[in-house]
Amino acid sequence: MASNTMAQVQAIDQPALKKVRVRTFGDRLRRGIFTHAPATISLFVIIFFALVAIFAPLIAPHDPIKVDIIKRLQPPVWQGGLPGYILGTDQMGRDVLSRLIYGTRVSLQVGFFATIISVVLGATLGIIAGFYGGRLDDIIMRLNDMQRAFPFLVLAIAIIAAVGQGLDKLIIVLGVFGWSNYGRFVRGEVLGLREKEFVEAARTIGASNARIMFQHMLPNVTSTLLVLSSFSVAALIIAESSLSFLGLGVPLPTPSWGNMLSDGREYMETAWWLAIFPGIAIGIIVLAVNVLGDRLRDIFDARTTL
Amino acid sequence: MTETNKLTPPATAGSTATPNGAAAGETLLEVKDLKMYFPITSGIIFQRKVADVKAVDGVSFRVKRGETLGLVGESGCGKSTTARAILQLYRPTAGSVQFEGKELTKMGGNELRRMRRRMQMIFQDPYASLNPRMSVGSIIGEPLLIHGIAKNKKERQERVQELLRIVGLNPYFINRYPHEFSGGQRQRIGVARALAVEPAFIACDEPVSALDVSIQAQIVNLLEELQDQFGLTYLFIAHDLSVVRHISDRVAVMYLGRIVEIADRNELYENPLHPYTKALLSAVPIPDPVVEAKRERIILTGDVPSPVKPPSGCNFHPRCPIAIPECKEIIPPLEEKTPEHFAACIRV
Repeated sequence: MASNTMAQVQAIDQPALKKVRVRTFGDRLRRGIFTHAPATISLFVIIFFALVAIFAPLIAPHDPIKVDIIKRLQPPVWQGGLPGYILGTDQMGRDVLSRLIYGTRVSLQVGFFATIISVVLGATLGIIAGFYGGRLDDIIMRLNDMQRAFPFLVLAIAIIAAVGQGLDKLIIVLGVFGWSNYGRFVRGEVLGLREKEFVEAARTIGASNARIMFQHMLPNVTSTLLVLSSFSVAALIIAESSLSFLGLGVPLPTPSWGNMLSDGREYMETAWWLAIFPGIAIGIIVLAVNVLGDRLRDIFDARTTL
Repeated sequence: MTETNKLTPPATAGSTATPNGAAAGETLLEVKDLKMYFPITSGIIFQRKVADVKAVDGVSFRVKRGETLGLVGESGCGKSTTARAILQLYRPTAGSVQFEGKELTKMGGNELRRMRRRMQMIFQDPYASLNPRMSVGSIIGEPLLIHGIAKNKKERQERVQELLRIVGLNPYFINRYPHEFSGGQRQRIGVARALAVEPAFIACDEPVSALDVSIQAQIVNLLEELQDQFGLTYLFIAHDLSVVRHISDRVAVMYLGRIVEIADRNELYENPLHPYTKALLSAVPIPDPVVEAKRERIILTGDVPSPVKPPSGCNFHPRCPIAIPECKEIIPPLEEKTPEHFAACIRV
């Protein structure tokens, strides 16, 4: 045994090693996604929708808010509708396809940006509450409780009434309101992690509090956080529609998948295409986000062999 | 507290000059009357302190550069807490810790973080002490990054690979994650992380207790090799008396937050003075069935008292076979009973 370790100690004097490439997280991310077909497809679906949102004015065949009562409630072309109006028209004669394309902008922005705000806010406050404990923890968590006890719509009405309507304000309201779940979850996890020896080890090598919180603890909660947040993208797209329905979301003529869906509900029996197409769009994006989120969870978990 | 601040014995004959060029026998670490109390609070909004857990209750000792001080005692006697209080992972309630002549207990966060280059720790559980989400390369490279030891990524990687080689692991393992290793290998990673900053002192908190017996020997030998090579000073905590005897130059015995006996390794094992040390040593089995059958055991009655309300006087008196009424009154000082052999007992 002793001679064995001795040999290893002497090994220092050996010539230089041949290069080993340090695998970065980016490598792992690329490998994880592109070796997994569903995740790859999901990624491209999301990129596709993002491009549609960005280039909406170039793609859309018609003006999404131009009213033309004469052409109202035309079915999709394969159902005998007007040529040029592929997915038909709505009750005001607006092109459904064009509205769907423009609607991508609002829905994706709300879904993704509000989720990002929620997760960042929730994770930061949750880590701080769990890590420092004591008074700070009490303040943050009681704030969290208060917010949970308060009906969201009432709060949203109050805030929108105060600051005015608009997509940016909507995203901020939804994003800020959504932190409580993440905050609670992250705090709970951090309370457990705080007692782990590797956190103590990090302190021993001289890591700062910020480093311990964000380099050591955060990576241990990201997997679950990703799964939670991929569900919330869907929930937020729907939440936007209910707020728009109440006149608290985006100003009315602006199309969003949510308000197309809620407008179309009334015509479900006579003009099914009004609600079905935005419904399918929401379904596809939600599925893509969830599949990708699930794969990301695996990638973040070091135990998964990719 | 009548705990004396008397000096502990000088370094044993075993320690020689260290490669650092520092003279052996120079005091590296001096702990004086260290106390670590954890408050017990009650109440929901207005918390008030109802009691203290006296995990460490007045511990003093010195560690010389290049030597290994073993620290033994039952579970819960405050061994680990002592190590953590020395490294300021817990801020001590009272007392002083002088390391390389600098007082650690009064140091602020940033100053203390810089001191971490000089003193490190190896942890008990190799499964819990490595972050499961970090690759081996980033675990060992992190101290280099924090203290700006390597100039760039390339240099850091080279240093990490060298460290892996020093602790007897394959230098190509940098991209692997902790779960891909066995307990012994993980402990080597923990050793490499501690070595990364080139410390003078390493507190080993039961570094082999969680390992297989065959692996224990490997890690103990590795620690000894590293000590010779880098002139390290160890505080070696264990409850395994034979491991401590093997690696230590001097041994301190703890009971309920206090040191009851401290002496040169051979002196302590062959000629224990304190009744607790005697009982502890009598529990070591002898690997010879004939001798083992005749081995005389001192069985202590009762349990270790609660550190919340330790017994008065000598806190060992309720279980002590030779206690006299005075033991309830007097807190025995750690006195030099025979040359360089200190014990805290009024009966010896």
